[in-house]
Amino acid sequence: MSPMNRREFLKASAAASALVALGSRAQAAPADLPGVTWTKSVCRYCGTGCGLYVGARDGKVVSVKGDTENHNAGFLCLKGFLLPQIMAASDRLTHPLVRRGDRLVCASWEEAMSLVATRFRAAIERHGPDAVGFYGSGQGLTEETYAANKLFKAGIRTNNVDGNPRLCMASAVAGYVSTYGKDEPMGCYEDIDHADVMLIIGSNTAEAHPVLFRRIARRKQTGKDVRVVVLDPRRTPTSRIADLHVSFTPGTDLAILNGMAHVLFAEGLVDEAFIAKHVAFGEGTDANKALADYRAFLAEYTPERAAAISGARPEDIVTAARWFGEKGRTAMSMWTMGLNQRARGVWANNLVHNLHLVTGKIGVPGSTPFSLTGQPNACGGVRDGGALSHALPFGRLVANEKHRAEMEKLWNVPAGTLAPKPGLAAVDLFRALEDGKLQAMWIMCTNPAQSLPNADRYRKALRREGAFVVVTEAFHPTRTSELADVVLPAALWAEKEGVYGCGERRYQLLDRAVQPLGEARPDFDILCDLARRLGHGALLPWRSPAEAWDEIRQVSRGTAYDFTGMTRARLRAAHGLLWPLPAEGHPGTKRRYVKGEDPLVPADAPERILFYGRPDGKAVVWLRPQKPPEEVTDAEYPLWLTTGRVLEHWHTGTMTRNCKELRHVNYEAVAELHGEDAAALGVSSGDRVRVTSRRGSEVFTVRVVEGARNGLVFVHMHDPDRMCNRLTIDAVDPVSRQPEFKICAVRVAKA
Amino acid sequence: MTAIAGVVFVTVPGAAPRVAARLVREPGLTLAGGDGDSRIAAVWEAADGAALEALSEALLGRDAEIVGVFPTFVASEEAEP
Repeated sequence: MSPMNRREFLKASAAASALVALGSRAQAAPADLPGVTWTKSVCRYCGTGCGLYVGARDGKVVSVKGDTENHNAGFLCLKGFLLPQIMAASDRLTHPLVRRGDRLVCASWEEAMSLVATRFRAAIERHGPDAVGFYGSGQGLTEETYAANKLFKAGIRTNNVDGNPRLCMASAVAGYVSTYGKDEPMGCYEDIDHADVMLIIGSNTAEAHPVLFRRIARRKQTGKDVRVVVLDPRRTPTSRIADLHVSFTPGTDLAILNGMAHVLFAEGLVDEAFIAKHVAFGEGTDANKALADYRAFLAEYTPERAAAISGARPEDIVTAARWFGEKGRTAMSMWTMGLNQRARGVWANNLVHNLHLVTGKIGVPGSTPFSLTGQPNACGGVRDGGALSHALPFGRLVANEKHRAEMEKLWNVPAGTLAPKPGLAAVDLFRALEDGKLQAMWIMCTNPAQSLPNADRYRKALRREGAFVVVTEAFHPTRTSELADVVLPAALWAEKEGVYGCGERRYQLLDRAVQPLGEARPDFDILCDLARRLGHGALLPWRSPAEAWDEIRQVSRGTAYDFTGMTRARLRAAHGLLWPLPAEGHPGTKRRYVKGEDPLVPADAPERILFYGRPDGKAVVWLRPQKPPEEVTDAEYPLWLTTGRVLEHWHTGTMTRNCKELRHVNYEAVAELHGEDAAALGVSSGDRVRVTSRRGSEVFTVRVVEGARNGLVFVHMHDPDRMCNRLTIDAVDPVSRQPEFKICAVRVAKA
Repeated sequence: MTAIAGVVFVTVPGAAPRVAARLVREPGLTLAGGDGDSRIAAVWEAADGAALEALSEALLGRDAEIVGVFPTFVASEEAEP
């Protein structure tokens, strides 16, 4: 790019970001401050994994600046720029709390940990190991999550280990595993720079992943005839750069995706040679079908029928398919919660993969399916690390005898230590707490009393008589810590050391920049303390996270994730490394399954692509019909409800609503309505409405929005005082166990 | 090096059109849009980040109807290969 073009691009990006952020308030991070030491780190917020430097002076974080050598090229979003503000927020918890009646009162670490150990021991002794559980987070460091997983599964001997990634990515995981045999994206962010067509579905990238959106916008602006297609019921800020925005009735995108596949075949846009070499076909859970079966299945998904089901225009479905399938051009898909948080989320994921597999647009620069991630270490710590109730580290499964035996050997525990039955997944874990099967729960670095669907039900479970709940958290009160029996002050972000793994298989080291505030301790130290008190200290013998990391690398050896070569020193020197990376001299892997790039594809493999995750080396195109959401609108609940993020706030707001600059914008969750719906209700922007579902109700201020869809209410998810999850449904995908946050039925009345 | 920033100006309610009229005369500043009431999106170019901050403070001190200047994006021309 010439200097002039580059400047024009930067100006356009700046303008786009300002327009997207219109209404945001922040202060610039100081440029270069005297006396400041800079420590390489990673942003604490979304799954993009932006590299940055933490500036500290006099033991305090005073600034951040983007890492120009990392994938984000020095760019940070508004929240990232403001990270220093949350480090000393007034609601930072600096000492342990224990419950005395209705109150949480200060306690010493010894008093709090002694109580925790006593209650956990008692629950295990009286009711067995499955009477306790761990609920972790895609925000914990890899070493922390690994320690918890090992302690609970190999020490306490329960598989009741799950975490909030179950709420955001489980359907993406099951989509990858069912299609390719292995989890995690095969492509990388760099594919955006080569994509001719970008299909963004169920993702408001502009607000949820702003730095990636910048890259998408840049590609759109600088590439030749680059087209962006956005499939989303709402006209979001992401749609502003779209060449085609396809709006549809919530829950009908399976029909649209099948409709697109129909057009690809009807117009000869498929790659028959690729299909013959690399694709199998399946229905249910088995690859038991043939291409002819798939074509017959697609026959009924004409664009007209898909449009009739979805409320989209048939010509838009045709256009989207034509652009995606155009020969000689690359195509990349990106999606997130709009697909994943669904009772048919796995199927929706499968149908996106289908588009790539039938066109052969996969495994080359610019052509890849790519699920975007919501949290900074959901991939690295929880998903890859196997800290889910059905999983063991690095692709191994609880239910697989060979995998259990491998892990028992690696963890040096007797054969038969690991229980063969999968534990309880997130929602099921809290249901067990509700009915008394679970007696004690450890919650780390997450806020389920606000973030679970049908939240009031599980808030009651957390306060059930006899239940014992420990929360480790950097802030208090949160909607969860307020319900806990013990709250332990956790060190936050730059106060501790560990690894984050972001959405493109990129692992990065966060070095400690400052000491923890007050009496706060890293979760790693707290978990090692718990292990010692429960008699499992030998399982967690490490003196530092670095020592744990060396063990984790060895546990990855020989798996599809193999990152044995990612030594601490190499991570410290690098600006992110992508696995597989099986030896210290290996550069890392941009594209999996590709000969010459992925070290797991043999050099003498007969074809350029090998989907080695499956026994036959082929990926599966699944026949997945349109299915409606779990709950649909009716006369009593006539409107759809969906929920989501805004640019300025993150998740449940615990790390943004306490930032004084961000408090000025979108502090309060609002209900966005279409003008016609607002008129029918007799309300306008600024009025209050009560939104009621079959599970609960909440009052919101109305915002009438031009891009809203008629019949759809959109509510922000970050506000603990106006909790959208009082309304959402706790139905889950039968395979991934991920809840259907994105769709339920409500009625709205003027409050 | 040139620093390029996306910024949002927040004004007192209703003052955005008046402030925008004044901002168009500001060197290095290009207006990108606004809500017509109290927010203006703009692109600002300056020698470096420190200069941007100094300009921001100067504007805040000079224009009583501007209540905040907030970056949404900061980059330099050398920032990316």
